[in-house]
Amino acid sequence: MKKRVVSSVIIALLLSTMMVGCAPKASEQSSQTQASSTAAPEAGTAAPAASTAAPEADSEKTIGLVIWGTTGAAALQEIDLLTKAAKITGIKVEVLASGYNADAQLKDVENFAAKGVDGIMICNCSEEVVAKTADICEENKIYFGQFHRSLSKAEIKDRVYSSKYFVGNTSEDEEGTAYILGKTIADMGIKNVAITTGPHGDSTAEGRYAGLKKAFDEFGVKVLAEQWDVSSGETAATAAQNFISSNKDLELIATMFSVEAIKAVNTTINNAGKKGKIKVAAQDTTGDAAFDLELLSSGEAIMAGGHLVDPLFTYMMLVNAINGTPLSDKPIECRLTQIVFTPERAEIYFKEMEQGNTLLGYGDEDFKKMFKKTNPGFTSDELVKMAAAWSVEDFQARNTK
Amino acid sequence: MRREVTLSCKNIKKAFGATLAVENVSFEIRGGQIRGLIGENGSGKTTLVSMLAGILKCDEGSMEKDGMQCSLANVIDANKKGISMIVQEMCTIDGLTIAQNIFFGHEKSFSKYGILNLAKMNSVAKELLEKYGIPDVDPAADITSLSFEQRKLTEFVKALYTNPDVLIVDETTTALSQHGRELLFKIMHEFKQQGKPVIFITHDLPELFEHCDSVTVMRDGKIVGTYDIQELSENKIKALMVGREFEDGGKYYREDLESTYEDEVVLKVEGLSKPGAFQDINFELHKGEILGIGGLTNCGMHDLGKSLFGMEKAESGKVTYYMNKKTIEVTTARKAIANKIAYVSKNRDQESLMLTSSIMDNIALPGIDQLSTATFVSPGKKYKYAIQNSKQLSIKMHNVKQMVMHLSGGNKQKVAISKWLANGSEIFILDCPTRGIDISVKAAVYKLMQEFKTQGRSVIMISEELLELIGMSDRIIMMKQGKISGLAERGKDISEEYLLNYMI
Amino acid sequence: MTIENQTVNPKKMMRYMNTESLRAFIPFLGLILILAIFGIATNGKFTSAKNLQVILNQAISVMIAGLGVSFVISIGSLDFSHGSLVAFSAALGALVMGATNNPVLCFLTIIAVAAGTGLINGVLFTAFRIPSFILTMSILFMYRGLTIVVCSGGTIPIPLWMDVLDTLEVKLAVLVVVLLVFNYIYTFTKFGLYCRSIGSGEVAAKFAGVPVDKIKIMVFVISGFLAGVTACIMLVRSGGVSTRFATFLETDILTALVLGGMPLTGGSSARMKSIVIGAFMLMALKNGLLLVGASDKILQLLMGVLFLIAVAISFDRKNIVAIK
Repeated sequence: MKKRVVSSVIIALLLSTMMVGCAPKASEQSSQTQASSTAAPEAGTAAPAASTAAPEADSEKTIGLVIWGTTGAAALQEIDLLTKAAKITGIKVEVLASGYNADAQLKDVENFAAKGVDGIMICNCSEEVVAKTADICEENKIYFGQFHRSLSKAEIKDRVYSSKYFVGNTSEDEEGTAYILGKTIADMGIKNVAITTGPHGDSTAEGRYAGLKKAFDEFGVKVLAEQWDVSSGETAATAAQNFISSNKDLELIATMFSVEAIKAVNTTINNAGKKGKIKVAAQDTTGDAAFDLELLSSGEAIMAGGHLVDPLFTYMMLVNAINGTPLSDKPIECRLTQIVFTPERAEIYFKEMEQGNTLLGYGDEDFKKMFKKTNPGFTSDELVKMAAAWSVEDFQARNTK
Repeated sequence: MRREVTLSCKNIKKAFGATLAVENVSFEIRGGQIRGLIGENGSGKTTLVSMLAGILKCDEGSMEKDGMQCSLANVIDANKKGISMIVQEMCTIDGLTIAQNIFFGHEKSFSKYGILNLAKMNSVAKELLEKYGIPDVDPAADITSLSFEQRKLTEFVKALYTNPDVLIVDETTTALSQHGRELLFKIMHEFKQQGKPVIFITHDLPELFEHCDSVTVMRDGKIVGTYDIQELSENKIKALMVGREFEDGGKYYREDLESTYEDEVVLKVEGLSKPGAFQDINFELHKGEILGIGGLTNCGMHDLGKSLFGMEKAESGKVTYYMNKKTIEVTTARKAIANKIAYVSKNRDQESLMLTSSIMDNIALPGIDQLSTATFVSPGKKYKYAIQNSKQLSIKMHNVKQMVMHLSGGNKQKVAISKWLANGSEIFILDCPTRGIDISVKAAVYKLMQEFKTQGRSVIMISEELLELIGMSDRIIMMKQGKISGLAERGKDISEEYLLNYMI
Repeated sequence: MTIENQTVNPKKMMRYMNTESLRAFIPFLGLILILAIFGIATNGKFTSAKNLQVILNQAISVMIAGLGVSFVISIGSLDFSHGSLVAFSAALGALVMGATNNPVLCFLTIIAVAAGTGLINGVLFTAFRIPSFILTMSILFMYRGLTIVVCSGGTIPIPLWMDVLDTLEVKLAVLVVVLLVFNYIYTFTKFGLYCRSIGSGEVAAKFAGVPVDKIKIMVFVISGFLAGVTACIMLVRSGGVSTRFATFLETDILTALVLGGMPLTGGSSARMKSIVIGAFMLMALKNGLLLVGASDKILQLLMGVLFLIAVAISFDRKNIVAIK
């Protein structure tokens, strides 16, 4: 009997906290504490006391990063860059990567909002996610932006751009770079290629494929085979094996999605005894600077990349907005051009701009420049220009002092 | 080579839950002889030899072989110590070859460093098979390629190849052809000549007399006595099997000695047959009658019971119920229940009760339609229903919400019966209703059956216990090997020997 | 004459009662513990009404779909198809939406497809006696394949205005209705009694007149139906269907059920409340760990450990019956 009473009480409490939660959204913080203190009797006096300290008064501001994963080289390099920038700006980055589907990403956004971050930057898996993110961020007064992504669907673009919390996005001209990559391949005299790329519907995968195809069609390069939805090392290796065994004339495999795929394809080629005979092309770098350099110098690979600095720009948009000194009152669109590596460029890039987990493309001085607290005159135009200028030459120019 | 082997056990006891299967049994067998072991179903003989053969462990007591203490961990251990048994059911393993079956458990003698020498296994198997009269068989073939009889013969080989000192044969002969039986007897006599004992369980009295030197009779888990074959006659054995004393019997069975039932027929069975179970069953059940059906375990009466309830479809024949001026042909259990027919299974834990459900749920289930009004089943109503109906048989429990599995056997049976009482059943098919329950609950069940008579309810009681059949039935149908072999009316002259004659 | 066989051994009774009620109580205790620990650790932020709302919002899909699975578990089987079932149904619904711009038709399609699959499951299960785990896992793989085929051109979107349906109020209303209706069915109707009986002793239930095969089919249809409802909710939330829609939903459901104290072998001790508590606990844990700053790798590890502990505690070793 006693057990019954206690369980009923607990169920009632559970339901009541849920109901309280459904009260009009403009609920005061005091009503929150009432619910929390009855639900957690052991919390004692700690809960009511703590609630009087309003979260906004925290000196520690944070930005939530919603990314595709945290185990790949690309992700680690980008997070590292942001961590370094955070040392200057004082605004830390927290990372969540629950999964690359809409539901998981929305959960990440919601949880960040519940935690009380001041800004959110997301590499969205679909444009609809950004629309929902806008709703959540507006409700919680959080600034948000995209990285590695832009918006193309009219309805969604209208919705998102009209939000005053949207700071903007940074993206690469995937198609443009891929076109240049394709042309470079054609210029080398290669006639027979195979392509792997990411899932249909993913803007990066689609964009890169489109650019390559355009160049190949224009310059007479034959695509012997192609495989979509290759986003891991294993699938890339399998695809590569199939390509090699069914196409005797194959000269190059372009693997246009997933950093892990590059090494996997390269290994597969070597195992098949075709080292040097079949080349690799990619629009990413592997994160293993020595490896990349060797392959590029020997001519076995043709790569474009260096876009790992992308999130830095969105980060700076957010940081300035959070501090009350936004760079612009309209959404900012930064566009990066990826670096197409010639052996000379590769030499400089891998020795001085990217090594292991660290990206050396930008340093403390640059961070200070982008941060309005240390550089009050910085404008959104300058940010856009900086992004557009990103290249090996720009790096050299900045660093010959 | 003659060698006197002795096997004995002292004060053996074995219980299964609340049931005492073997009680304080001391048994001895010496040297070259064939000892018959006979008793009714439930007398404990199979349990006893199972312990001697290492299949079961005894709760109390000790065993000795050749004067030395002997305890058996399992069957393989028993084989190693020289005791082998051939059983009644199929004991070969599908999916293994003949040779693998023969040497099952003894593979170590054919393996070196963990690798099995199949060729050697097969050649030894071939030799053995020929020795025991099963030529032209490839030992590497799957056992399923053999006929039933051949598989049984393979079991002989398996039991014998280790050259055991003691051979136990448990009712094997019923399954064999003439050839198989002769082979078996030949083997048994060879044992005798070698000075080794054979324990032979059979229901076939002529066989018993032909081959045994002495006979041990068991009843109710105890040994009645061991006798030289010359001292015995068929009648005497039967008398020993059932016992002269009625013990408590007289106290709880019916006291009247006449069959009393109305003329109205409530159930008519015509030409009911189910191949492999029973054939051409014809009988009638009257209102207020207790109709007993008896026979040996495999005589088909248990399947018959299920068919009457609609749980198992017969292949031909008709089962017609006449109740409330309606003629009903029962084809499914659901229909039977809706027409107030009840069935209490002999397989209580599996078929009568849902062990992890509460007493309340078990009792309410058949009659649930009465408790629901427009889909709503009030828990209060269900609770009251359960309480009321558990009172009638005084089920001892903590409360009706308790899980059935925690009850004793007797109380479980009370729950199994209560649910039919609750449903207002008019015709009860009871299969072994007092099996595995103690005396006071037995008495309660018998009392209930008598009440049914006065209430005009009818009962079919299927039972393997002769005393029960005699004590409670108005009429008794005897079955043997799937057919009705006799019909008896309640009266003073009905004795167990009389019934046994029809069943064995 | 032995009378002791009739009375129940009181000592055994006490022990049985304690483990049984302990098992039922642990989910509650777990929930209080989670609320308390994270509440203190985050200075009350975790237990704020806003945050609890977030948790609830995330838990609703698992709750509704899990309710269907609870029914399947109560008959002693398992339904492991939900992730893909939800995805495929939603995909077809999105296509219908795109073709007809009629939300009612869209939702009806989703529920029809899901419930229809449930029917197929039930029929295959009863007619061919394929073990439920294997059967539903096959559906899991097959339907994921179908989803990938249908979504091979990218995300199938639904119109942006459907966003208005994605509010906590609407979802909560759906949840409450679903809970009330199905809890009623399970606890207060003879259908519910039949389900529990089958899970507790299928043969005995048959002997007592339960139309076992029919009930089993209906249970799978219920599971499919609720999967369909979940698909509608998730579709509106995500704004579209991609190849990875609702992956791992079935795993989340299973974890939630275990955390909520549901005995996986089913039978009469299955309770509908397990999924509610469990789903909430699951989302609360994920949310809470984030709030205190745990990295997502620790989260994975912790979830695995908790799952094991919860199973160990709630698994009733004495009444193990293989999942049919």
